Amino acid sequence: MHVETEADEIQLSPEDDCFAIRQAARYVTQLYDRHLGRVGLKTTQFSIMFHLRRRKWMTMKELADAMVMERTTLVRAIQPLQRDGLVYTEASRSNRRVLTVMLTTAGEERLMEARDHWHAAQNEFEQRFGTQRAANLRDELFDMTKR
Amino acid sequence: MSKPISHDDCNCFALRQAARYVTQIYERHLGEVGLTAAQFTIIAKLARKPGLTMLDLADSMVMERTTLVRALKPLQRDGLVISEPSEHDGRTYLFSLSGAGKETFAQAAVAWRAAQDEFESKFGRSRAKALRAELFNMTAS
Repeated sequence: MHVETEADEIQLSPEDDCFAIRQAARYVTQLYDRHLGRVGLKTTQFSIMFHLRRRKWMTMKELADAMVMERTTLVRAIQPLQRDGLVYTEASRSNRRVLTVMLTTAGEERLMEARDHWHAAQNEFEQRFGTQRAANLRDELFDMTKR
Repeated sequence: MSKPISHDDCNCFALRQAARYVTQIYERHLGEVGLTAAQFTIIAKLARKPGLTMLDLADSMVMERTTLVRALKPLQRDGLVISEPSEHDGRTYLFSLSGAGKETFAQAAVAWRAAQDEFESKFGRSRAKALRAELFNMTAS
């Protein structure tokens, strides 16, 4: 019964670009989350903090655009970081309706700790999938999102 | 191990960003029939193979159970997906589409085709095909 289901899966959605990309994203996210979880971070949170690393602050909109992410998704991902004191948000001085985000010192430290775990995730993935093949895939994907 | 990290090197970021990008395209179309991309996948699976368990669905979509439950709930609430206890094990539920669910799938398939055409006209049809092959190969391992 289970074997039958799996045989059918191969036929399933073989043309769906959206499914193919989303499924692969979930697959690598599970792998990276497993490593980054050791310093209490999710992949999205690591990515947000990484975007903020060299900037004093970014507006929510800049951050959402940089990550190709819906604002509501971004807000939801930022909330735990804010609660744990890793990022700090405040209204822009020039426009009170614009929300700005920055890393705290604790956030910078956590990001440093997370680096080795990111490398470990990266190595695990590339050992399975191939380093050159991964590089080619990234080129294709970044080319897609650059527009 | 203290090499600086670059976003250009991150496999996870590349995939997740691409996933968000295509999801925005597909959900603009699928939104016309009130579905998210994840919900469309669930409905498409159940249309082809009724009577799947939660575990079947989660495994075949490489999806966390909690994510799956969140996507399924509105479909059950709206009566598009129905469930019944398995004959072998009363604690296991088998999920299928209702009549309304089948109708929604038929409409959603048209919206999906429009999204697919929009994406492939931008990215290239044969390029998209090659990319899918790479990605399915990755997740099949």
